[in-house]
Amino acid sequence: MIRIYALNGLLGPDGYLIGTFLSPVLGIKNFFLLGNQGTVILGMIYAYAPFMAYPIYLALMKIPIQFVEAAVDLGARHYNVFWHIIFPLSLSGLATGCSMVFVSSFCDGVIPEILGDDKTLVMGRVILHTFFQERNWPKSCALALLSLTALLIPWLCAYICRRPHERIT
Amino acid sequence: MTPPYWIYGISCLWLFLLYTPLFELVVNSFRDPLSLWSWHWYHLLFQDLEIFKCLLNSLKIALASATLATIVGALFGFIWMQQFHEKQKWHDFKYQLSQIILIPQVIPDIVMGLGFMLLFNGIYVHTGWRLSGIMPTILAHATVGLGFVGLLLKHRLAEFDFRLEEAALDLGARPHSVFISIVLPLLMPTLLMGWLFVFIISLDDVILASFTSGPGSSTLPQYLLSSLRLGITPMMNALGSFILCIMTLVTCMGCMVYRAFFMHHNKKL
Repeated sequence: MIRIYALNGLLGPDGYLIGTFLSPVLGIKNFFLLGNQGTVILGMIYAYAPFMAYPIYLALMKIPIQFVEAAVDLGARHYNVFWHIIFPLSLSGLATGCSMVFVSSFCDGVIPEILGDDKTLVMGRVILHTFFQERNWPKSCALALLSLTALLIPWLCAYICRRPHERIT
Repeated sequence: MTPPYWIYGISCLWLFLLYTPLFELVVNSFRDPLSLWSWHWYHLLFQDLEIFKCLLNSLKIALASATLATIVGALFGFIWMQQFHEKQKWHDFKYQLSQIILIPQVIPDIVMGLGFMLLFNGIYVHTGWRLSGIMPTILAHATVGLGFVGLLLKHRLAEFDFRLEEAALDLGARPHSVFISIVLPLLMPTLLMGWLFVFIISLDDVILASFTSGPGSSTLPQYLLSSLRLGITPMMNALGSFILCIMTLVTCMGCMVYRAFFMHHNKKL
């Protein structure tokens, strides 16, 4: 929340990026960073990066260092070690992280409200609006249930990406 | 084996992107149109009684929900240890029931908030008993935080040395005394981390709080959001820096406690 607020200050019309850098130095006028979809996506990346980092870290910790050493002994280059050993072994962590970030950002109503404008409507914003402004409780519940069903997609993907012995944990 | 240099470049860029807005927030909170550096906005901030009330609410909710989630998480740890000994499989109903606390963290906040709101409302309609003040928010935050505590505990138990427990049982200790004097001290670092996690989540959360809090019990992020809707004043920069300061202090204290008491237990963490 605070970080999104800080990002709002940085990218806003009086913030450092536009107010003190772009318009006086480069002479760009009427250029707004807030209120478009790209900024909302940037804000979500910014806010949910830790949710991605933690599962990947856990998956990387599980990889025995001997695997990497063996690959280097057998003459593999950096990118070969990464692509053929580390990346496939950390795929389960990557899948968990992806689904966590997807779940969090799918239903987020606050970041699009702060960084976006009226046109960046997402599910979370619609639910919040239906609940608090329209006061149509059954409709908002139906929308919430609908978004829950949509969240099954990344979970199925994560389930498939995991190796068989890791599936039921 | 050293990574290639462009990876360092990307990492530095990412760190820059991560911390520039916060730096800008703190710098802006000290700025003033008249004099370049001043405590002006902080003076205004601490004179505002409403902000103080919201801050107090936030801190109370965070403390209570973190403690509640950690206690319940420890009890679930006890259940998981038992299940490990009974060698329960995933198709066992009791096993599935005990995994239920991991669910709230994969359900989006907005759905959880909606559910809590309807639940408390339904309780009020049917029994006439209303949870008042900050109580509903504490319950909601503790439930969502319990998922994170459970996840941390699960990863800790995966690498737990169960021979210690078996040795204690062999020497004639009762299961509950084994849990209190052997297992709980070993799980303490994880529980502390979980406590910190829930505390910070609770201090940062706005959606659950806006669904569950009643009049007069709104939290600090809620105040920040509502004032953002009305228009930005530089006082909000000071408020943001202040919250940032609290979070940093709590995290540092947690890490210091961790280092002071638990470092000798497991060097690995």
